[in-house]
Amino acid sequence: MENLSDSELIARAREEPELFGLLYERYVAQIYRYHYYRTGDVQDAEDLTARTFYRALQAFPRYEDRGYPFVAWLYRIAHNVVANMLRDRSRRSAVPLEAVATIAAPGWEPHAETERREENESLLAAVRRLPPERQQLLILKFVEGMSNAEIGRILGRTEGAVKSLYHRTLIALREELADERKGEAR
Amino acid sequence: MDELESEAYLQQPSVVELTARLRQAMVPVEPSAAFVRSLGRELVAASRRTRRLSPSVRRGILIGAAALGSVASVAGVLTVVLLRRRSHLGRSVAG
Repeated sequence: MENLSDSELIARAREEPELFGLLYERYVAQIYRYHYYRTGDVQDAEDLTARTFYRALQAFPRYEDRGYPFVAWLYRIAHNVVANMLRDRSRRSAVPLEAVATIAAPGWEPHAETERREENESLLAAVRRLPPERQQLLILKFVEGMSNAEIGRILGRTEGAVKSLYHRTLIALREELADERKGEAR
Repeated sequence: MDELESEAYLQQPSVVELTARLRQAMVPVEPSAAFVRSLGRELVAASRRTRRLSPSVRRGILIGAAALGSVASVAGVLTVVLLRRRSHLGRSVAG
């Protein structure tokens, strides 16, 4: 069963809904990582991953294979789920997103690592201020190690369009970091 | 930004440094095994409930309920008609 392609597994899962569990096993880590880097919090990532797969299970009977990878459909659900959560959270409290989304690194870390960790945190906070599609692009590129062509299949864009979006994303991120440094200097 | 311009942009030292920082900060993380197992179990249980009430089963239940409802209403109308007729006949005999 593990050797089946996504399309084959989807067809089987329509007859035997329990097989949705195999699709879940295939993509749970990827969706978790997406939520982790969108929110920067382990608890939120787990909660949002669960919500994503419950919604996917509910919507699965209506899923249509339109030639995009199955995971692209999961990412769309994940995007909506995280957008809802961030919107609800911003309505409920005035706590800035960066404060909510500080990565909680589990366990003790040697002192020498602290500075690097802070730098990483400030970089990831800047990434989280980018528009969602640009965040997703960076997650797919750096966390999942995908090529521009693979990212294009997930985002529904051409390889050239992904390349161009990547460059614009780096420019925006550099500006974001520069603004942050200016703010700190004041 | 055309191809050559964007390639040149990627070679700029500050951009090379930024991508190196991104590579260092955005590492693959894994969900805990306990979380994956527990959510997996919940989803399989939920999918079984979905199976029990799959669209064809739900359609069957709906058609069955509709048929029962129709039979009940026809029987109700017939009962009322019969009762009225009987009471009418009773009154005619008494008169």
